Amino acid sequence: MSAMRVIFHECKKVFSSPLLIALIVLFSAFNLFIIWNESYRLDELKVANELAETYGLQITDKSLRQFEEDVKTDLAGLHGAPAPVDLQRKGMYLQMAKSIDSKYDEIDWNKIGEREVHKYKLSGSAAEILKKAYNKLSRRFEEIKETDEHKTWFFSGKPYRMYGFLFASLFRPIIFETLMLIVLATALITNYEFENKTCLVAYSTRRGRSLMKDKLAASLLTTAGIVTVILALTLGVYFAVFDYSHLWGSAISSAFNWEYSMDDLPYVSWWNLSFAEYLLCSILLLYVCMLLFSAISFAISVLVKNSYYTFFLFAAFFIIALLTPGFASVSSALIFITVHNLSVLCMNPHMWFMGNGGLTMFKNYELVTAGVWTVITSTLCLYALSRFKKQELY
Amino acid sequence: MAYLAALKGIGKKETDRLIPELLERVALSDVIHKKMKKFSGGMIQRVGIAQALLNDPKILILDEPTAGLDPKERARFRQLLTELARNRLVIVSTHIVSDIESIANEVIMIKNRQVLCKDTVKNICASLEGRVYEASISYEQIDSFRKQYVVLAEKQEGGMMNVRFVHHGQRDNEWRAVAPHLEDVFLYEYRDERQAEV
Repeated sequence: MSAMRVIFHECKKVFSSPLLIALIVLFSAFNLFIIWNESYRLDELKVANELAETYGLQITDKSLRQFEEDVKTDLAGLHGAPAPVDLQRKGMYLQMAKSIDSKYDEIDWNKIGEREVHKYKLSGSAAEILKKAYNKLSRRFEEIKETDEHKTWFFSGKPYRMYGFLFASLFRPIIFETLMLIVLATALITNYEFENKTCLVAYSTRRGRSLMKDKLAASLLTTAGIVTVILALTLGVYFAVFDYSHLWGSAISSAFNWEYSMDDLPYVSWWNLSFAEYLLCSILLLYVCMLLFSAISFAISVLVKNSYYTFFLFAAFFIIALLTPGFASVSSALIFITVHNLSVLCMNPHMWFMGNGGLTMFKNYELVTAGVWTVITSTLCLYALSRFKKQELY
Repeated sequence: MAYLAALKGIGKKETDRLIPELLERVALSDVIHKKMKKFSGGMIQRVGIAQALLNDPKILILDEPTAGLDPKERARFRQLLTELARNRLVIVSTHIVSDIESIANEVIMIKNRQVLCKDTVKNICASLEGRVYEASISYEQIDSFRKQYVVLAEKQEGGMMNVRFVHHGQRDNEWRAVAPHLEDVFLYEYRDERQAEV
């Protein structure tokens, strides 16, 4: 029980810090500004929900025929007058729905794999590994086509880019904001006594050096709290502004989730996930990444005992991890090993669980990265704790 | 206080009972909701005493508790230490001899990691009984006086220097014998260090 009270008091240090509260408010305001900036499209986005509500989420031959007839009826009713904007949008959705099969038949993931090998200048075992992965993706793609998993209504990707907006334009700032906050918070909790010169008082009590374990627990709890606050505020407002009421069950690999990009390819997830399930998985992965980053900051903090150094060392670690794949040999599997780091994982949240991710397109990339770094981080924390037990406090 | 109580393994109910009681004891009840960064040095020292008393220790060790405090705070501290010493052993390490002269039951004087003496204030002062004098001399005499005798204090008075000093030999008629204080003994015992500094 006293451990719980200690952890509560440690967490209180963060949530009563004016700087951290100000940053949380500032970051939340920034996120809300991003959402507000895109809210002009609200009217245009209604069509997708209407279609799902009227014809069902799944696009079948029957529902498509019904939709086509309804559009023709509406057009006929105009008697040559220009079509209203809503009807034009419906027409766009109809054309996209009718062309799904032909567009999907044009996609050859094995050829795309070859292109990616040339793009990254891979050779030897690296090239073979990537080709095998694309071969696997090709089989997954065939599965999607056979089960019609991709035939669900969703916001049209090319004009609206709602998927990219949520999972790239919003998630990426959320990741960097929470990262800054959790590094500061973790350093504050861990170094508080050293920076306020009360370490000799705190660490000589009955709790003693075990206090550092409580600080680790408090850091992780605070991290979860910060992520929850930022996510709840941002996603709460996002879903209040943008209506997804009939699209939660839409497949994340929907053919409509096809945004303009250099490769001009639809998003293809490795698993049959609905939008809601994909969102939940992304949120869980975000929590895991942030908790791991918090633990890494904790280990650095315990070793250096200074908040400023902790922040800069963490930033250096993040950047070095990001740049490491650039130095790996393109002919060996080492390049794929080096991309399995948390920095690379967090840079492209819209590629999570997708086969579209370039060198990170592997099926279990996220799970393997999170798993391996959980082991590395746990080892780091255990080392930091055991070293702290024997260290001079000054 | 609540944080340190948790670190000391004191239960929540006990903590909730103890904190107002201890803050009352150190005269900080009216500032219980004030931030510590707004406290004076004396108030912070009193919080330190209060947190040290959380687990009702039988032995309380205080290292220079009155350093940097104004006379009013130091007087308050002496009163507090006397109260605390009623049912526990209080050990105070200090260089401010006047703080403990009036309240200590026993004084241990340590020099170069050796115990010089361990006795009551009265007995320690008795070691210099009849050896401490005061005299008025001119400014020109002060340097030679310092070389000849162990000078404890100097004060300007009406164009002359009033010196307090220790002498073991024959007394001059113009000198006035005074009762030794604990500080006199302290300064006398540390005379070689003071001379080295000069």
